[in-house]
Amino acid sequence: MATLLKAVNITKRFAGLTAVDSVNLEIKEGEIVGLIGPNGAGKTTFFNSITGFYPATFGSVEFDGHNITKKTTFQNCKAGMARTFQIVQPFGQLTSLENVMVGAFNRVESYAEAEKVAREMIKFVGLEEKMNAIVADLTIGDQRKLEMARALATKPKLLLLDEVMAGLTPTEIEECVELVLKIRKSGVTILMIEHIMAALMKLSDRVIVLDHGKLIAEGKPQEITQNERVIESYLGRAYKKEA
Amino acid sequence: MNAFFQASIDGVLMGGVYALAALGISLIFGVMKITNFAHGALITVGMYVTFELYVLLGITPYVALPLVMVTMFVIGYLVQKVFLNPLMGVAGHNQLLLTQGLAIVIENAILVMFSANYQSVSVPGFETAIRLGSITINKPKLVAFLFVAIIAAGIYVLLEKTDLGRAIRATSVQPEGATLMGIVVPRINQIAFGLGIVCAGVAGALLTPTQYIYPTSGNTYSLKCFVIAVFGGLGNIWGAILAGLIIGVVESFSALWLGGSWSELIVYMIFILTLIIKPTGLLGKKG
Amino acid sequence: MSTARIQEANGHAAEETNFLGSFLKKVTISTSNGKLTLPQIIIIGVISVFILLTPQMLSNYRLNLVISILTTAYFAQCWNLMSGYTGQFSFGHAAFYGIGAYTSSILFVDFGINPWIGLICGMMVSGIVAALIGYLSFHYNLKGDYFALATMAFCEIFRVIFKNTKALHAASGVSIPFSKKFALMQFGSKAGFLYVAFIMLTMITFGLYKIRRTKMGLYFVAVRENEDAARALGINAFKYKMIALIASAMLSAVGGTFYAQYYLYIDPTICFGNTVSISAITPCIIGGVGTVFGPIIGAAIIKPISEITNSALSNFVGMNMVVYGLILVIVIMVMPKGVIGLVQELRVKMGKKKKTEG
Repeated sequence: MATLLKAVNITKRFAGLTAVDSVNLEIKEGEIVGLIGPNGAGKTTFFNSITGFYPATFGSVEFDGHNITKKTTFQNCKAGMARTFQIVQPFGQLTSLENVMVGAFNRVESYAEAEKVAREMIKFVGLEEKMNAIVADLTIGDQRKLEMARALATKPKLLLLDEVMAGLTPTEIEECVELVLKIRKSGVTILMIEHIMAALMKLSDRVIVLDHGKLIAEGKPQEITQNERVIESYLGRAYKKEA
Repeated sequence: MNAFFQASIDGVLMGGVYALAALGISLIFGVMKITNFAHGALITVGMYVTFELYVLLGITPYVALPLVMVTMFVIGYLVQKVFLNPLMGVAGHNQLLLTQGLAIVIENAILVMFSANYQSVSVPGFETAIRLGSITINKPKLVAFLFVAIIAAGIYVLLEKTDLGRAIRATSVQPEGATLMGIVVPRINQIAFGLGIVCAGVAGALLTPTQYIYPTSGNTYSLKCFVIAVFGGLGNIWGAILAGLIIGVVESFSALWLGGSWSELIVYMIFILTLIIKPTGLLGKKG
Repeated sequence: MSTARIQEANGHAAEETNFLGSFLKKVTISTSNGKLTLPQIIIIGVISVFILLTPQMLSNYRLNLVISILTTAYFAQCWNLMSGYTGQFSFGHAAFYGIGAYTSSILFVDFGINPWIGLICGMMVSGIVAALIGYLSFHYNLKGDYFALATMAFCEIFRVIFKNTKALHAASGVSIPFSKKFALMQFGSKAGFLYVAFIMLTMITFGLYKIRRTKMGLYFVAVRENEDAARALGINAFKYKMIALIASAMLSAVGGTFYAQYYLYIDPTICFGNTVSISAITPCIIGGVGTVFGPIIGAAIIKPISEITNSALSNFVGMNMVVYGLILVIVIMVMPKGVIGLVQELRVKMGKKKKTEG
């Protein structure tokens, strides 16, 4: 399988604080890669550096065979990289349909066509009943689904999911896992930050672990759960909390 | 060389008054994140309160100062309570527009009550200037500067050394956290706004001996005060004072070299440069 | 797909059992995003016919009022495009209005250039100035209050420049000779000006209505609602903010030229004063920021009130502005989404009432 994303030596500093420290990551087409780590480990910052929200201080990013280190967010989206946000970022006063249409316009020009794509995507995530609802009125779970639909409407090659399952009920998590698998099936590669380990174990082909901005482990989900360093810095605590 | 000293002195003295008014804007923004477009109108209110005390009761501006402060505090406290507290937490432009609306109301209410006539106040014993060689120092401006120094020091002590000050600072950093600590945030907001308006009113009062009083006389200072507050770093009190003095001097020198009417232009350009280069201002924290 | 449609249709039918609710819905719901409904088209038609007949029906004084409603609504729509749709609150729109007025007037008075050409020149100059202001503001990411203050400062800079430059007629302003000729952009009578103002307003409103259902229009609104999300979805926010600002500035310049040609006198305060900028904002706030018809409704409310208070309280100079400011304050406090938002809320409440009753 071809390499889709290759991040080399990604380092991000904020006023002396190193949030992400020389992280290397390679993602192959069709993979689901999980990204875990304690709060403040630099996971979201790493996302922001790759997607161009805050360009990295050092390091380079190659996506789909092109160097995108200096590219901005919207250019990366055009190139096929879409994301969701840790804290949902809806267009609150617009309808679900319009929200997803904004994403769809990444690839199409006409209003009718964008509407068609958006309707498909909303059905895909199972929100067809909320098609014309004002998004600010939706539940958090629905807003997260909608955000995925919106990202998918941009027709990405790589989808970055930032804690899409946080705050969801067990049933909703169940649905979300199904949804992510469905997305992969449709040919989209996925990199996801997640705290819900059970879901991650089911979904990911590979898990990488960040702690204090450094990559401390990488491997199959089973390997990671047995890794001493990971248990010590993250899993131990997380498992206890969830139990 | 004399012109140089003269301009420096004039600039610093004027800058002091600017600094006080801007300090009010900075304090209000620092605590409530409100850009108070009514500040200029409230400077005018300070002038008219001083003027009325002078005309009706024969109280001279400097003696009237405590009364002006109390009046302005009450006005500010009520404005925050009635108009702004209900809007805390909603989209920022609503507060901006609200203060703009209040500015229109205040300015024109003054026009209705006092007409557009130019008024003035004279303080016996302060009409003459102090002469040092060929340099003249305007007495009322010197006195104003001294008062500004005292009041700024007072506000500093209030904010840094008292429980009330600590509550105000806590609110400015983290309103939610302050609530958890048992601080009644709406009341702190009212007090902070009151204090900010005291700064505006006192600046107005201190200007009365040296300038005409008319319904829009505070407007001249309105945008200038924003310039200073932003230049110094919104929310930063020392920044406002430093920036006030700098802008005062810059204005006085550009008036000397380019003529009075162009000095405003220089001030606005400094403003735009600040916004572009370092929107957090001279002493503002980064990000 | 088809099931979704059916459910949607069912939802509509259930709501429309309430007559008043459904009427309000038909009149208001589509103004911000959807298509016009038949009742809306009828209302617009009736009002338009009325306006076009006013020159035959109304006195000169009333005619003046109608023209000032139309021009205020037009300028408010310009502001709405930029600040309502794209969410960048400008407090210095007078800059573009003033540049339009001054460009055509100075070209005509000092250089004998036809005002029609002056109009185009004014639009160009205004567009260039907007591009400069926009670049400085958006490239350096000025937002919210900072952007508002920056636009205000830019506007003041123009006021100071025009007030102090002899070549630009300084503080004495520019008087435009009276001619009555269409070729010189003076439309014979007040009726002529009324028709032109009506056409200008109709065009910009139609444009705003149409653009809302295009890619660009949706992108504008997306930038307003959430700029980060918009960027993540492939929107070049800088570009769309620039387009909105430049378009808004060029259209504002037309409003400025119209003013100069109608009143035949301009000066730095008339053109660049703070009240001019506010006059573009207030109608939008009253009617509903970011809606297609809000600014027109707002202008139709605030202008007559100003006019009535002005003549009724003529003994109290300034009282009309007190009322103006109070209306602004009350609207922001009581109905922050304006008349259109209020009606929509009422509709929702009535719908809910019906449901709980049934």
